[in-house]
Order: sequence, then structure tokens, then C-alpha cells
Amino acid sequence: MKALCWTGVGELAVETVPDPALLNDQDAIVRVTASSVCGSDLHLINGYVPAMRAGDIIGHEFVGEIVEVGAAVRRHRPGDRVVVCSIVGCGRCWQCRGDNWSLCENSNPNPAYTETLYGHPTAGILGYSHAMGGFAGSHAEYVRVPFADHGAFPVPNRLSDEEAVFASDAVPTGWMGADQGGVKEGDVVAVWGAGGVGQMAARASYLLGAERVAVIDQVPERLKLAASHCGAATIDYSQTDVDAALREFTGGRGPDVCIEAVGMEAHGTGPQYAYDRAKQALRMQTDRSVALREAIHACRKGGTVSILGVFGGVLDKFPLGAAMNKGLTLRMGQQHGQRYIPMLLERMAANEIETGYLATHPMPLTEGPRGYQMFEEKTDGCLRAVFLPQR
Amino acid sequence: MRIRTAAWGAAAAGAVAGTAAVLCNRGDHRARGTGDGGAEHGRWHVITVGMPRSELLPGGVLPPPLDRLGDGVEIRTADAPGGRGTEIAVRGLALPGAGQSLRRILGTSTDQRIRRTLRQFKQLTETGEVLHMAGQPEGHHKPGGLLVAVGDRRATKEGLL
Repeated sequence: MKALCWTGVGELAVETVPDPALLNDQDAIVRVTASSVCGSDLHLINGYVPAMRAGDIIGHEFVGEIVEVGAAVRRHRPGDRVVVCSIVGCGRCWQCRGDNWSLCENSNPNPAYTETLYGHPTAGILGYSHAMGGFAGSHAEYVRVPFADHGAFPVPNRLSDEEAVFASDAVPTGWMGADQGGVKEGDVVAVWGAGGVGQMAARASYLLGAERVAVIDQVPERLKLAASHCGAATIDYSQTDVDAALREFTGGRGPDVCIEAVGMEAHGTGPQYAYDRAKQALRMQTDRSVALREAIHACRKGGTVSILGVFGGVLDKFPLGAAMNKGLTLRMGQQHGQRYIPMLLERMAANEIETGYLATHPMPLTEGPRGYQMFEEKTDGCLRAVFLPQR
Repeated sequence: MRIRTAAWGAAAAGAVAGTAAVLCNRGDHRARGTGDGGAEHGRWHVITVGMPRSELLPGGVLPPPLDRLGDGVEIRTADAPGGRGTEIAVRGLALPGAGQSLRRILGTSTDQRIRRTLRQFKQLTETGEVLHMAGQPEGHHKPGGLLVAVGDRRATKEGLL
């Protein structure tokens, strides 16, 4: 089959690889019909996530049809159309039973990496480095899904592949940002990042009762989409003093909930950004956190900063003084997708959450490298490239 | 193999007294496991498995793959607090030395065997299977990926467990 492989820092190639096989009784094999790029893939591609190996198939946000199931799979059968959570969860450990799926204790076959780096092993993630398990990803014609009864969900008929694909990651991650931020009736929410996750976090904030939502980015096309599809106010950080704009937006209080949907390769302006950029380029720091610093500074006293963007290592110049003295609550984590996906698919089918507009650039899998280049450089208004391996 | 199913934690049902007993016994466990310089054994490797001790070790008999650790280890179990199952602690009876260091390089040290076995036991008990990774599709490798390949081979045997 054809698959999009990481071949080195900043390099991707479509290669011919063997088809996946059932390796465990709880596996399913899914014929991938749509697989989206994700901002967090850029961290892998650009060498900021450890333990990538040339030949690794990337991709973790996908929809498809089950073609084969292992002997112990009970909830699915060949022919089922499913969306699969990017996080692998066993469904039976203490963390999964507590609905904290990205903390699964049994789904990372390479626990030593993150156990050594973070103190404890994290869950496996499809197509997301050997540190997160080394699972082959979804930018391929077929993909193996471990613990399929717990990670695959039937897709409502009224959703197209290009809509449903985002229930795999962008929609539940965005929802979790608002949910773990404790967004409630009357809140004012600010979202850093108008990518797919940021757009979904803005929409989720409104659905959870926020009265005003502002989205911060510098890409005009993305800000326009946040305004037209999510009803958010927009702030272009390349043109505007974000802190001042948010004071004005919130009556001087600061946002009740600040959602960071950017991560370790944040862009910004001014000397702070130049400093971060230089240190990261020299590999003297692992993560650039301009957006997170800004969120902590802007958040109202006693507010919550909810971090969705992926960070991998150690932050430099983290404003703990502001967080401590303003009594902020910091919430963060990889998505607990299995907790939210069934509910979100219902909301998507009921048109409460619109996702089709995120797929600005559907294309064949063979154009994978070009799709990632467009996505990273944000050319032609690319919000998400979505690969269609069967076309 | 030496097995202890000592009651550290077993009395935890009663709120205060139980908590005190658990704390006391955990302290004892830590002192034996990591603070006993000069002792004749390695450190404790401890994992929590989400199943009550009575179901996990019926009659005190070790299920596979724990039973394959052989005679060179000591095993202790205790009820985990809050109904979280059973804490299983294993340590090698031989003091880590030059032989173990060489074995660690070769991937066959006692500590490595213990870590892998504990992780497999937890997966088997809680999910019914150990995830297999060999045979996944992948593209062409490059020499730079050798380190990751070596890391993967040791990833179930190393870490902080």
C-alpha cells in the first residue's frame, strides 16, 4: 500500500509499504478514506518530538471503514464506518476507567521513553513517534487500530468523511480545552490559535455557555473563518497589542478562560519571539511558548489557562510569578477523546458543530508532502489538508 | 523465589486505622526497597494492577508471567489504597554488581527482566493481551534510526519502574 512516511527532519515521502495485519486479538484494520494533517504533526516533522525513525508512517486523525477485526473485537465488524480516536486507550486501566484516556497505563508499548522523560509513561498515540508507542499512522491506505472496541466509533450517516474526520482529534481536543477550562454561562473566553483545534475550542466555548469569545492569530483567512463559522471576535496579533485588545474586550478584567491552542512552535512578534526562535533553532530550548506566556499574562485574576497545544520538553521564561500571584488554575493534557467523541458526533450530526469548512484542501495521499508544505506555510488559505488515500 | 503477601495495606478498610496502616507499611516498604544501602538485594520495582489481591493471586499462587521470574527474586503484594487493586513489588535477591551491569548492556539483567515482566503482567491482567508491534508496516530505514530501534528493543525493560 501507499503511505506517507517521515524520512528525516523536514522531509516526507510517499512510499510503498506492506499492508498492516492484525497483531492482537483486539485490533481492527481500517481502510482509510480521509486522514487530516494536524498542527502537532509539524512538531514531529521538524524534529521537536524525540524518537522518530525514518520510515515511520505519520497521521493520527482519520475516518474509514473496518475491513478486518481480531477475534476479541466485540463492538465492530467489517463494513462499519468509523472514526478513530488518535489516542490509544485500553479502556480497562484505572486511568481509562476514570475517563482519562490519554493517561492510559497499558497502551504505550515503549513506556521507557516517556517514563524517563516525564516521570510516568503516557498513552500511545497513533502515528506519533516511538516515544508515544511507535504505532504506524493513518496517512496510508490501511491502518491497524489497537483496542478497537475502545478507540473506534460509528459515524452517523449524515456526516461526510471530510466532516467526520475531525471527530478524531480536532473536535474533541477543542472541546476538552473549553471543558477542562471550566467554561460556563456568561464567561469571556480567549483562544490563542485559529487552526482547527482553536476553531473547535471557540465553538465549544459558545456551546458551553460563553457569552463572548475572542480568537487570536495572524493569518487573515483563519481569523475570517473563526468569525464567520464560530461567531468569534478576532485579534490579529501581528497588527494589534493583544493584551490591550483583551482588556478592552473584557471590561478590563481579562478573559475568564484562556485556551492555548498553539503549542511548542508558537509564532509572535518582538524581541521575546526572536529570543525564543534563536534558542530553539540552536537546540538550546525545546519549546517556544510565546502564546502561553501571553495567555497567562492576559488571564483574569483567579481565571483558568487551558493548554491544548503540544509541548514536549522544558519551557524557558515560564511566568510562574504571574500564574501564582493571580491565583490562576492551569489545566492541560492530550485529549481524552474517548470521553467526548460519541457526544460530539451527535452534536456534529445535529449541525451544532460545523467541521467541513476545516478541510480547505482535500487531496490524494500521493500529494502528502505538498499538503504538509501548504499547511505549514499556510499558503492558499490552507487550514487543513485532508488526504484521501482511496482516490 | 520468595513470596510475601504481608498485610501492608490489608487493614486499610477502616478509615483512619486503615490509612495509618497503609502509610506505615508503605514506609516500611520504602525503607527496605530503596534506603537499605549495603543490603544483599536490588531495589523494589512496584506496579499497581487493577484487580483485588484475592482474584489476582488466588491461594497465593503466582500467575504467569510472574511465575517465570524464577528463584532470584522476592515478591510482595499489598492492597492498593482507594480500591485501586493490588500493588506488586519485585526485587532481585542479588546485589547489583559488575555482572548485572554487563547483563544490562546485553538487555538481560534482573532489573530489566523484572520491569518487562511486571508491565506484561499488568497488561495481561487488565486488558487480556500484550500489545505486539513487530510486523507493522514501515518505510525505508536510514542509519540514523538505529538508535531508536535499539531504544525500542529496551523500552519495556528500562525506565523508572
